[in-house]
Amino acid sequence: MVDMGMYRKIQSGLNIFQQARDLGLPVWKTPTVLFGLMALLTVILMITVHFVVQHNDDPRVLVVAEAIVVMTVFSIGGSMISAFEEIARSNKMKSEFITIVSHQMKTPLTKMKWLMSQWERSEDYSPRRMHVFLNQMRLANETIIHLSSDLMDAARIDRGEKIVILGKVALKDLVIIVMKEYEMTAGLRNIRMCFQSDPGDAMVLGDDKRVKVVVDNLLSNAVKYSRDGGRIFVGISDSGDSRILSVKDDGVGIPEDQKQFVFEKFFRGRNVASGNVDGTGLGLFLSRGIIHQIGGTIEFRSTENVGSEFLVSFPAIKDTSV
Amino acid sequence: MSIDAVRVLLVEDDPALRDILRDYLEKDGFIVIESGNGSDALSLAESEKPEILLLDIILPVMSGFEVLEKVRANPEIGRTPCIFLTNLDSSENISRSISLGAVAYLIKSDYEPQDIVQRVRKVADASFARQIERNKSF
Repeated sequence: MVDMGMYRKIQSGLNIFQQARDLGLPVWKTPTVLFGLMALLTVILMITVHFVVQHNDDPRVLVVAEAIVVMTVFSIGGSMISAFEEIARSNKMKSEFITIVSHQMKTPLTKMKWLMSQWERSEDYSPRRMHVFLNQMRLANETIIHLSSDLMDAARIDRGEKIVILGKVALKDLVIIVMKEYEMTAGLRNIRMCFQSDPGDAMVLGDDKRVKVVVDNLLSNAVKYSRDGGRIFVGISDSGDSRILSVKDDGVGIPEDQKQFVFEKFFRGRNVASGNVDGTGLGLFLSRGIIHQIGGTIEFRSTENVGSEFLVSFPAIKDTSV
Repeated sequence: MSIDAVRVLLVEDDPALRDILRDYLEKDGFIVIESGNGSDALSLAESEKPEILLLDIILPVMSGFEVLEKVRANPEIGRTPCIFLTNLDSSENISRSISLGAVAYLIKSDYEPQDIVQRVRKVADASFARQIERNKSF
């Protein structure tokens, strides 16, 4: 009797394209391809060694040939291990991400639940009280919508879909609006925010809604990762065909060994992921995706325990009639 | 400690959630000392010496776990009963809270505010009863 389960398992194991899609890896990095490659190369090398030794009596040739076989097997084995590490790391990040997103979703949902409980037992149903209640419910609802949009945008960027609709953006005005939104949060922790801009409106190529997401993410990070009493400098400068937005803080900074992962999905610095800072780890991934779609660049400088500076370059619009 | 004047240190970084809980706790007769971040919460725990800690875990500056670790290390306030109130539902966090001697680990979204107040009341009553026992034994 044919064991259908085993047959399907073998069939699925040999479908390298499906495996690559499932594991999120390039085809050549899938375990099946690497294993097959290792087996094939081992056989070829062993046959080669056999023929070399048959036609050569010098033992040094045998040693060199064997060393080549061993090194080749080791290097392919190393590639297999690094592919497995990549999968394990990605799984761990996804699992952490699900925990974080559930937490972020639960907070506004809890707020709505508790507000309704409070409303039910309230003795004050005045229009003013009603206004406060509805406003709080609206804010909680917007938080959920905001989070869902970020998740959907991240998935779209991941698939390579275009999410920006290019137009004219008054960068200076937009930055001022976002800074105002953070004034209270920063003020509560005695964080001073300063803004300096070159003269003019700083008209750039972009998409109002998406550029606001970028500015919001950078300011949100600067506030979150600043120490109480810290300072945040926001600046817009002219650089030929570009406008540069810089957001600089004197907060916790990014550890050296984590810098390469900063723009990856779900990334949260080792020094902040231990439980006292909220965030999904999507902000900078989204920001980079948006800026690249606009045709700009985003980079950063950071020193742990000294602070970080993020620099975003937008294509400038000189002719205001565009 | 008098049963009708229990002081609760409420540490919650979300102002709306903090306001609702404060409202419920005060209506139930508790005196509420409140804080929105871990560092201030620790200072308040040391200066005000509340009878109960009601701690969120994800907090600005210092996490709820770090706050409780530091509270436990201080002989003057080290035995203060603590309830963790969070939306982080993980066995790792629950284990950590147990190892730090928390009396309860409540998932916010699973409870109505009045249920949380009831739990705080139970902890206050148990703490009061233990204190009476200790006083009797002296």
